[in-house]
Amino acid sequence: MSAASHLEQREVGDQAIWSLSTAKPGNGVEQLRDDNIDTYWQSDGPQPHLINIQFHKRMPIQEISIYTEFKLDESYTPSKLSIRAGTTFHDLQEIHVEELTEPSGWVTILRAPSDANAELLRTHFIQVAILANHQNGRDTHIRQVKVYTPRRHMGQHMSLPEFNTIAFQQYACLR
Amino acid sequence: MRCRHDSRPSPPYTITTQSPCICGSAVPVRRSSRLSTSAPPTDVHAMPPPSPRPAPPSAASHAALQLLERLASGYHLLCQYKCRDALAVFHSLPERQKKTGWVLCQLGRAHFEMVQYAEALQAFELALKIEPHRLCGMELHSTILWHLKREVGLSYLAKRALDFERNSPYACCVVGNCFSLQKEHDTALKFFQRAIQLQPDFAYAYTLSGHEYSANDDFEKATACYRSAIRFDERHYNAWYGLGNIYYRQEKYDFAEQHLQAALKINPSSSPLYCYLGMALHANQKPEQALNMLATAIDLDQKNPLARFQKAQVLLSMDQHELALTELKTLVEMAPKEGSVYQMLGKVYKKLGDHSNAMVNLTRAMDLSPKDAQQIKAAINNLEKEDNAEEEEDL
Repeated sequence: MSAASHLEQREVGDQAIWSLSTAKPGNGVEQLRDDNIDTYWQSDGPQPHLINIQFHKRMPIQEISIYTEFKLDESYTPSKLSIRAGTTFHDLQEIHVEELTEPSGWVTILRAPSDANAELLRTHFIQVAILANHQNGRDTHIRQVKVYTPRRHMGQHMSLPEFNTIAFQQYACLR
Repeated sequence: MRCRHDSRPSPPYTITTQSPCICGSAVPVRRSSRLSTSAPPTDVHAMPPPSPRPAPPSAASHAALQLLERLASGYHLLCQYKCRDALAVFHSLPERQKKTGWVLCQLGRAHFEMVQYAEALQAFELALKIEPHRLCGMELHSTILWHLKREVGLSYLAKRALDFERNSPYACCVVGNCFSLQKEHDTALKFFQRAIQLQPDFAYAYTLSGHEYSANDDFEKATACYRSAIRFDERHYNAWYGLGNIYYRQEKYDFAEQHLQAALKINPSSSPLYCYLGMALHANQKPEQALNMLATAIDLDQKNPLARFQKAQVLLSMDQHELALTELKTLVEMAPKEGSVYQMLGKVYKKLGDHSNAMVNLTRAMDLSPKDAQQIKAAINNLEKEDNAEEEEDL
């Protein structure tokens, strides 16, 4: 991730409630979200494997990235993912399908629309479904998942517009 | 006796309940002893306890006591946020007393509370020159640089503070402010948290953490930080303001009003606080009261552009377009480079039916704030559409 994009977006995964369809004991949500690429979530059941990310409020989503390591995980590495959005479990709609070939490191599985004027996805609920693994593997390994929201909608003092002269900005907030 | 965080060979940190500002007052004591040339240098702590019948004071000690009294009254006024009176007292000090780090820091703080950042910066810069070892007060210095968006100056100050004393909570706040200006809010938070670790009763560090959480839209943690700040220092109005800001952004306007009022009770001479309270009242459907508050804000500080901007906004929502227009015209003269002002002018002219002037102002706004281009374009398109519709009607 470049430094510039880091300034324009913010990770909001810690504001969400995470759940998984299945997990091997000791390889669950905690390992998926611990910022450690040596630990991973391992599913333990039939496909599709699901990651459910539920927000308290409608969250604008700019990007979703996952960390996988084909060299270590081999047949556990996901090859086809579906991303679904909605308000609860019952009204999910598929918004994107991403196919991966031998991914290694951070992969962005959902991108913001390239047209800057287009509306961002805003949703309460995001589900990442792993539909297939490499070499027809059954269970899956994902090491990290990150959800990003754009920064420009946020952090404004007293919901003021962004002023462009310092004389104005000085009065726009106390510190 | 020296300020606790003043000098490099300071002992490892012992946590005391002494507030950081009061410990700074030790320095003038040292200075005043230097004044009394005839009498041997007196140490406050070494003095015998006052006897029931005190000996008649010598002229020198009388002068010293008078000086201390004046310093104390200035500090007292400043703590009550009577900044103008405090400034007068500090300026009435003899010249050589005015040129001490402590007095300059207090002068800087008084200007800071009145949003006179340029003057405040001057005082702090002079203080830094005279007493480069003074870390207490540097956190305010860095906040002023943050407000003035002086990235280079702030980086330099941060580097200097860190090189001088890594274990000072003030230095950590300076570095945190530096990262905050670079919009690296998570790194800034780390430094503010470090400052709290170094001095767990440092209310300002809690408030600064709160501001960073608020910048990241993490309202829950920000609220917790502001509350901690208030727990350690009930008169820390910045934290009350922070809470008001959060409730405002959550659209809980009653709470916002209440917290901003609490902040104003502590610091009744702050023009921005009145302005924010006015905004909260306006959002809470009390435009009349809002106008009163905004008028007070403008009275307190003629140069507060935000208060005039908000006043125009309230007037616009009350359909008093002509009054809004006069307010905005004054504002344009004060802040000729501010896009949002032209944008609002465009809106007002449109309401008044003066489409050509509306278009002029909207295009100016577009030039000045390209970030809002989308919104302004939409307004211009609307205007064109209406114009075309009118022409068709005429035909």
